[in-house]
Parts: sequence; C-alpha cells; structure tokens
Amino acid sequence: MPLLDELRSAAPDAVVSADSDDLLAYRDIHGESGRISCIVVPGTNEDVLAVLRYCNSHEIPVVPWGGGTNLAGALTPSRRAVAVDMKRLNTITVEPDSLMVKAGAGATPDEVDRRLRVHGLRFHHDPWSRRSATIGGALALDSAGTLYHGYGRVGAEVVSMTVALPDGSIVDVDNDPDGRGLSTSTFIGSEGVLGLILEATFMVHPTPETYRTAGFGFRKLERMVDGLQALADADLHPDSFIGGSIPRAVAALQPATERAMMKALGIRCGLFVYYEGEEGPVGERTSAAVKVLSKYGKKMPQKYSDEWWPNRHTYFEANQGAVEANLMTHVFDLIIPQDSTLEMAGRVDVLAAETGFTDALSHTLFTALDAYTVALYIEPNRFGSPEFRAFEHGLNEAALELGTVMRIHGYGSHFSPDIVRRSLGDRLAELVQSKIRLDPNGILNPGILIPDSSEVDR
Amino acid sequence: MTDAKRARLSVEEVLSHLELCASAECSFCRDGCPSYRAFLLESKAPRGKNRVLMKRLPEGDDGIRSLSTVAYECSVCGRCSEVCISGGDTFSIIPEIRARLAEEGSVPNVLEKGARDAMKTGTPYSSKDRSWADGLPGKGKVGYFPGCNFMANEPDVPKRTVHLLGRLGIEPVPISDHCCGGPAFNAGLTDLFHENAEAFIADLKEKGVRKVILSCPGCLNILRNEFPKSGVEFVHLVQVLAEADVSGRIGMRVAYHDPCNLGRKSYVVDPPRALLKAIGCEVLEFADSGPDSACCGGGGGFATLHPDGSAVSSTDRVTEALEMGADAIVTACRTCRDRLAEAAGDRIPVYLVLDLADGTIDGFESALEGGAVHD
Repeated sequence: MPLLDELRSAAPDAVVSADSDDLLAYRDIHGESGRISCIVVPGTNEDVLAVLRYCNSHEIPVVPWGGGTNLAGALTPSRRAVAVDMKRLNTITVEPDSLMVKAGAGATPDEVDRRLRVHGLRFHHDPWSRRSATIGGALALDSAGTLYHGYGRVGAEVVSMTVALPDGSIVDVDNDPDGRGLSTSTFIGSEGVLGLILEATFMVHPTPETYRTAGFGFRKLERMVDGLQALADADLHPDSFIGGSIPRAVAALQPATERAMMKALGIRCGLFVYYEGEEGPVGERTSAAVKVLSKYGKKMPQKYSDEWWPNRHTYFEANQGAVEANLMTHVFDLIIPQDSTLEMAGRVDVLAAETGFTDALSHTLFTALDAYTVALYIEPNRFGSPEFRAFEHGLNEAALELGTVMRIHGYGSHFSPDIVRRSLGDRLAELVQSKIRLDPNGILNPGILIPDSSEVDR
Repeated sequence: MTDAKRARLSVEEVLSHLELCASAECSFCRDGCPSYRAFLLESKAPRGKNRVLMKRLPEGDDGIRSLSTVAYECSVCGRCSEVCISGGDTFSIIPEIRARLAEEGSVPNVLEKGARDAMKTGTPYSSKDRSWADGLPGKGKVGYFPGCNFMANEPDVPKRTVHLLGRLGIEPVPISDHCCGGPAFNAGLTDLFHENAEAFIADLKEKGVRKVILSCPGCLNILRNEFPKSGVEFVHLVQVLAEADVSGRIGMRVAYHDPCNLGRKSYVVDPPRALLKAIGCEVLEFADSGPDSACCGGGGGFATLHPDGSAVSSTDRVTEALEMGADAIVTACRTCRDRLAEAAGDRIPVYLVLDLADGTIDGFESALEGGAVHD
C-alpha cells in the first residue's frame, strides 16, 4: 500500500497530502526542495502516535512542524521526511485556581494568553511571533520573548509535558527525572530530535496592575549601553526593553516627523523601556529610570513609547523603512556579557566594513543586558552571498570568543556542527546520548542540531 | 476611458513582493486567514500561497493556469497585507493572479457566469426591488446606492434608509441601474469590470451626483478603491448617521464586527462605534478589530466556493462575542451579518447597525420590534 494510504489508514483523523502545492508550502524556501515527501496534519494525539509508529517501523524520517518560521533551518532535515504539522492540536485548558494552563502543541502563545486574560492571568512567553509561533515549537527551541528578563525562556515555567516518543509510545514527564532519566529538560530545547511535544502545563502569573514606558534617544551606542548599565546598577533594570542603532540604509526612510526629531536630537540610537506592577511602585521606578537615562540621552516625546508597547510584536521602526526600500532583514541573536557588549559592537563594525555591510548594520539589545542582536537590512539577492557568509562566519567566531550564539531560534541546520559543538558543550553530548537511546533509527529531524543518526551510530 | 486606480503588476513586480515574503518567514498572515482556518494546510495560508506562486509564476502560462486554487481559495479580506511586516503584500497579488487566470480562461464557472450575468442585468441576483426609489428625485448632488444584495434580498433596508435619510433632510437620487461590478472584480474579469464601471460613472454624471451614500460595504470598497477616478465621493450610511445628531438609550452590550470592506479597506472604523455609543450601546471590541479585524469568511466568492470552510471563521467570531459577554453582535455589512447569524443560530442575535439606529430614531420600531433588546 502506498505511503499516503498507509498514513491515512493509521491516522484516520489526520489530513494527509502529497499535493505538489502543499509540498511547496512546507519546504525550506532557502534550502533544497524536495525534502518533504508528504504532509500529515494530525487531528488527535493518537494520530501522532500512529504516524510515528508507522514511520519508525519503516525508518521514514519525520520533521515536526509548528509555526514554521524556520529561522535556523530546524525544518530542513537531511533526508526526505514526512512533515507532521502539529497546529490542529491546540486545545487549551486554564486552571485559574492553581495558576496553571495546559496547552496543546499547536496552540499559539497569543491564544494561550487570550484565554488566560479572561481570568486576570497572563502567559509569560511573549515573543514577537506570538501569533504565529506554537507552544510545541517554542518549547522545542526554548524560545525567549519580551518578558525574558523577568520570567526567562518559555521552558522556565513548564511544570509537566506529554511527549510522543519516536517509537510511537507516549510519556508524561515533569521537572524531576523519571526512572528512565526523562524530564521536561530532556525535551525542552531539543529541537524536535528526541520526541514530539504533544502538550505542556505551565505556571502562569496575574496580569500586572499597570505599566509605564519611556523612550530615549542617544548620540552613540556607547551612551545607550552605559545608560542601561546605570539602570542595572541602580536596581532599575527594565521589565522589558528594546534599544539599538538605526541602520543608515533605512534611517532616511523614517517618517518625516521622526526623521526631523532624530536630526534635532542628534539621535543615532533609540531605546524604549517598560516597567510593570502596582501603580505606585511602577510610577516611581519609571520616574527614577527617566532620571538616570536623562544623563545619557534625551527623552523622546511620550507618544513614541506609548505606541511601542501595545504594538511591540510588530513595531520595528527600521523594519518599516526596510519594507519601503524592498530590503530584507536578517537577524543574528547572540549572548554577549554586558561588559563585552561594546567590544563586540566594535568588532561587528569592523566586520561590516570589511564585508560591505556598514550601511545595512544595526546593533540591538533586547530585554536583557546580554541579549545582543545584530541585524542586516539587505537586498534579497545579497542573502547567502560570499560576503554575507564571511560576515556570518566572522560574527559567530567573535560571539563564541566573547559570549555565545543565542539559540532562541534554535541551531537547526543553518549552523555548522563546529559552531553547535562549541556553543552547546556538554549539552550536546547529553542530547546525543538521549538520541541514541530514544531514537535508535534516527527518524526524528535527522541532521538537525546533532549529526544524522548514521553518524551517531558510528 | 478614465485611468484605472489599480495598476496591473508585472510578473517581476509580483516576484519581488514574494522574495520579501520568503525572506521574512514570519507567518503573521496565517493567523486569522479564512482560507487557512478552513483547510488547515500551509499551502492555503498567504505565505504558503506565496511559495507556490514563486515556483509557478516563472513557468509561464502553464504555471499560471495551475494557480486557480491559490487565487480563489481566498476571501480577499486583506488581513494578510494589513498584518504583514515584510512587504509581501499577498492581498495585492491575488487580484493580479485572478486577472491573469481570467485572461487564460481559467475562472471557476460559477464565478464567471455570475459575474457576466450580473454585469448584463445589473444585478447578480434574479431581480431587484426598486420600490424604495418611488418619489425620489431623478437628479441631484447626493445619491443613494443600496447595493444589489439589499435590493434583491432585503428591500426593507433601502426603504428604511431612505426614510431615515429623509428625517435627516436628505432626499437622495436613487442609483440602481448598474451593479457595482464586485462580482466581475472578484472573478478577475477586469475588462468586464471596467466596462461596467464606466457605465456606472456615466449614470452618476448624467444625474449630476457628486456624492453617493451606500448601504453595502462591499460596493463601497469597489466604488471607492477600485473604480477609475471620477471625482465622485463615496460614503457609507454609518458615516452619514454618525455625523447626524442622534441619541438613544438602547442599553445593550454589543460586539461590533468591522466588515473587511469597511474597516480595513475603506478605513471607516470610528463612525459606526460613535453611532452605536450615541444611541446608548456599550461597544465591546473583538481582539482583532478595526483595520486588523478578522474576516467573517464570507467575502470574495469564498463562501460561494467553500461554504463549509467559510463557516469556520464566522463560528470563531461568534464564539469570541459570546466569551466577551455581548448581548448582540452588530455589523454594517449584510454578508457579514448573514454569515455571523448563520453561525450564531439562536445563541446570540446579530444586527445591522441600521437596525439599531433606525429603531432609535423612529422610536424603537421596525427591526427591533418585539425583540428583547430594549427593556
């Protein structure tokens, strides 16, 4: 019986397709085509288990699909695979009295948060992609969002998970290792190579009573970094923030009023800070922060920061300019200790000059003092070019020397095994051991994060 | 011939949009897309469609002919472009692809026949009731165009509207000879659409009309955003009523659903809310409202071609209104009203803004008569 019929028979509630248009939509647009042989959209957990049982017994690779942003190539397996799209498994159960929520793998952070808001609660994972990411995908990459400073990554609040293992069995895990040594941490951040997360239960928190924001402009990146450090020293680290330089390639495309303001204030960098909590303390902390930052930069009109926070998931000043100029944005997320930020920025400036990306370059700090992002605003045809690769290589080497490559989007297939090994260290050895134990046939996401199963076997 | 507002896109221009979409990988457009909600496959969401387009468009005529499902499994609600952060702009691409499919003779039969019949007879329906126009002047600066949907299926609405406008001192010139051309535009039959538009505008000029009040947001979008420039102003009835001095004490909590053609495409967001508040409603907002509003699933021929899939989006909307604790859902579009009412069943009433405003001004008669909404 052909593969499609077998899968339809095994998973009766699933949508199964090998239509050429469907396959196109699931392929890695930047990678090689043809690596997805068919698509399964399970309607139940039992469908997932049945598909895994079938694929495992026939040694057919499986790539789990969540939101599909694929920023690090975690959806580009090294062998032809069946894509299992988890988005229909999106059941959400709120337990307000115990401050917990159980969410299916396919639910989005936005859907979870909306269900919690009714109860005066909120979800701690608040990435810019909150309406397109999925719980399963976020946990598989252990993503971070705008509330990272206060709550950590998405996995930090998990209390238990249900996971489908590659052999089609199911396991419930919590934060303590079970008899087989499996716990939530086995699967969080494992990029779908050990099991398919079916659902997860999270601790949740009351919605803060209120919040305040403030925006500042700085003449130099150094002034902004110093200002943020001064806030931290004064015990005023913002509950969230975003700040960075505005790339020359798009600065000219800012709306005229903003351009005039930036010119008048001599602004080369912008920073928005956010504080939340009870009315009195939030007001006091924000006022204190404004006082501190005023020594380093100039306060922007309040309307800019007022606009920022409600629109934080889509509010990218530079990105708006990039869209106008038909430029694409490529982002490199790094972890650079605060005391090395400026050294890293200096190295990146030199690297950009050497590779011709000076005008395209933007430095950003996001939510935490060590969460450092480099963005390039470039014409689509420069993505993947030799100079782009040279910039990327130099950036990764500098990052690994001064800090590390951040993995909020995973390592996927875009990073070289050497970069992954140097970034993950002992964690990679643990993952390899778990892979050998849980997925001896190497069917789950082959070639992603760790070498393909054939190499593991050797 | 006057200049068409919507410029045709070349294959290269379409591909440059698609490159930007491909580079972003964000998929913001999937959330709330009626087509994706109906089929639950990436290929039915805007980003997935863009990937298919990137592959098929450069393949020439054969590639274009294969794009029928991409182009017509879409409610043309425009939300994908509203939330897009990459510049991919799928919403601008879909009409272009439909136009190319029409040139290749690949429009779905049900849409093509409907469009050609509508342009020939002046309505996509078997008849239209013009009795609402009795006694109105033949010439004047302000016209009223109810839209074929109301004239054929709910002739009471044009009558009540004319009555209301009369109370506001407006005696409009009736506009009813031609269809707005929406069926031709949605099918991609651009030549037919422009031929009809020229005739529509000529009719307005002959009657001396400089401003047209409309009841149907779909017609408003076509006349305001897709017609050749004519110097005529097109406004929706809610805009006229919102500017009038009306008040009421209805005392309902209503969830206002922005029709895509009104809130997103025509940016008429505040007037219906202001009007509802003025007549005593508490207006509850859906999480996605205003220009970002979710679609009811009924537009662009989508409900005709995929009725079951269309129902998924309207059911989502009703569920959200119930969770908000609304007494009723209110909208300004007949298609939205019908889709939502069908999904709501007897769980929550669904009204047109006119139903509430009309009742208030006339002393709670007509649509709300006997209802439980004015206690």
